[in-house]
Amino acid sequence: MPSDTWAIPRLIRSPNPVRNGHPIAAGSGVYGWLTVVATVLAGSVPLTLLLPTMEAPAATLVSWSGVALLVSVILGNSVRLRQRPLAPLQVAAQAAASSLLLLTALTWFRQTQATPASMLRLALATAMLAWLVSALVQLFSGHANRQACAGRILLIFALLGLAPLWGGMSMDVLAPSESGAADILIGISPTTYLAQAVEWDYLRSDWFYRATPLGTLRFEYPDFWLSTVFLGFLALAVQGLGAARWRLRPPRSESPFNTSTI
Amino acid sequence: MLRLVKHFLLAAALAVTNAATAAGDMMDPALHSKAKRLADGGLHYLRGTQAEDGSWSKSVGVTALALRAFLESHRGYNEGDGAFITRPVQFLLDHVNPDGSISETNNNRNYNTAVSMVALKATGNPAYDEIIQNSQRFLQGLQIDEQDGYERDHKYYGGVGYGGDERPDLSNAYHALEALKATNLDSADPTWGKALLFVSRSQNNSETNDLEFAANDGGFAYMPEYSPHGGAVSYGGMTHAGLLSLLYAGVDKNDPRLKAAYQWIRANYTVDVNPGAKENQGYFYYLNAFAKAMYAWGEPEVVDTAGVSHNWRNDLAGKLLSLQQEDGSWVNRESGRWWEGDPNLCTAWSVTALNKVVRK
Repeated sequence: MPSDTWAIPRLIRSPNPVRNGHPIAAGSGVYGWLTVVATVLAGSVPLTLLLPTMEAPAATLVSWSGVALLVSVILGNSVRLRQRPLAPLQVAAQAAASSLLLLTALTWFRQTQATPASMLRLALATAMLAWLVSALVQLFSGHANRQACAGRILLIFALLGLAPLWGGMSMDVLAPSESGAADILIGISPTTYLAQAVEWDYLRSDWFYRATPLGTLRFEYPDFWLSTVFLGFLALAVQGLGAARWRLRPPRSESPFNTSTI
Repeated sequence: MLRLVKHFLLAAALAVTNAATAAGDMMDPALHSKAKRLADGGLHYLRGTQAEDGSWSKSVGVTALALRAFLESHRGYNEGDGAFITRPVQFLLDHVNPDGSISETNNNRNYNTAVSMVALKATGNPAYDEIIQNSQRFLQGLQIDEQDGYERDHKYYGGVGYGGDERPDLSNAYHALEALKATNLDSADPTWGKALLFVSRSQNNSETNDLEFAANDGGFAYMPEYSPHGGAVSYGGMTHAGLLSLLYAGVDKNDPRLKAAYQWIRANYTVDVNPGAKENQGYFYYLNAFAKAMYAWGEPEVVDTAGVSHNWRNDLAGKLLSLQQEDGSWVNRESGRWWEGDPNLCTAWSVTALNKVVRK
């Protein structure tokens, strides 16, 4: 067995909450999954019911792509559904396929009017985000406790996705309008990336304009293709790091009932 | 001899009449001179902050507003005056897109195109007529109507938004209408009728608004049933924008919508703050719209609901005099919303307002 003293810094080691019985870490995994479920529901229900499709056509496209992303990551890392979790790129492909399927169905049933180009860009964006999320899950958990880890990673992504909301009020007060701080806050949000895939100025849409003052400030959305390239390199690096890490340390059993220790 | 005396008397009578008219329309003569110097100071500031390519703040919109400030000033600047005019014109022309919009970004396409149209029209150069016509078509295409799947009874119908989302608002609609008016869109064009529906639905006036409204005070909200200052409250910037929109669309001053809007202005007359707005947000936008609205209304005095008469020119000039910074600029120090933390933008708003003040 390889010794515990390998080169990768301690801060990226999996805490292995369930096996070690750490209540806080275990709780965060459970909370993460609750957030995932709530987000899936939030993405699919309120936006399309409370905001009629006609008033927010781009919102429908983005929210359903978000659903495809979440479902793909959940299914790809579920130990109850499969013996071995899907590799990050497999999750990405699954996310792209399900996103395209959903959007095509929506267009077919005239719930939205998406052009083929925008559907493809949105599918690509969903795939890139799914790739990065899965690569992070692999890095931090290997094959053990991937569910809890996936929940935590998705929780972080959900928080980043809502960054324009929770960060918007402070931006209005603290940051000068020309500081570029708003650009950074908007740029780190996965919601921005998905919205840019369909060229949707979401911060000035009805709901967001009311919910956050960011739409009234000066900002620039990041370029979609530059963001895609950046995410691609980031996901590749994270996946490589994860593969290198778990080569040094053999993968544990994926069964949640396994109580063996190293 | 008698004919000579008659001519002299006639000329004298005309001179007296003109003087009286000028005095009635104009402001305090000393303030009038100061207002001109204020505008000059603002333009001097803008000359200093102009980039090499002629732009301001790396923005088509701010550049167009600043350019308009120069072109409409009492100095009568035009393209023959030099690069400080021709370069910003060229900057705008360099951002003309195939769809007719004039914008450097997909967002703010309406604002950018609208203010650019007004600036290009202000040059008086017929070489830009085709670009202007294409831009007219672009703005008309942004208007929400049946082609977008909306029926006349929808609250969005007839409105215009930023251009990156379908959500319309009165501010964008007002700028679009101002541009269409300035570039002589046919008054019989259905664009005006559709816009009137949206503008009317943004007014808190039970007599003419078929939607729910916040208060029956005659003022305007940002869009139907919503204001960024809470609920759907009326506030100064939008009320003056709404009044102007109605005038651009050809509504008569005796129309209940205009009378209600003017009544709100009388009841909330001030140049010290943007009435109804939180933290004085959008203050310079308000002063700009105030000046244009008062000028378009055509009366030199506003009698508020307490019976006090106000010379709006004197009041606005005095206020801008007190707010101008040492370098000739203006900026909103209370709120940076709607880009009012940018001195170039606030100075452009202010100079354009002063241009209305000093004009008869």
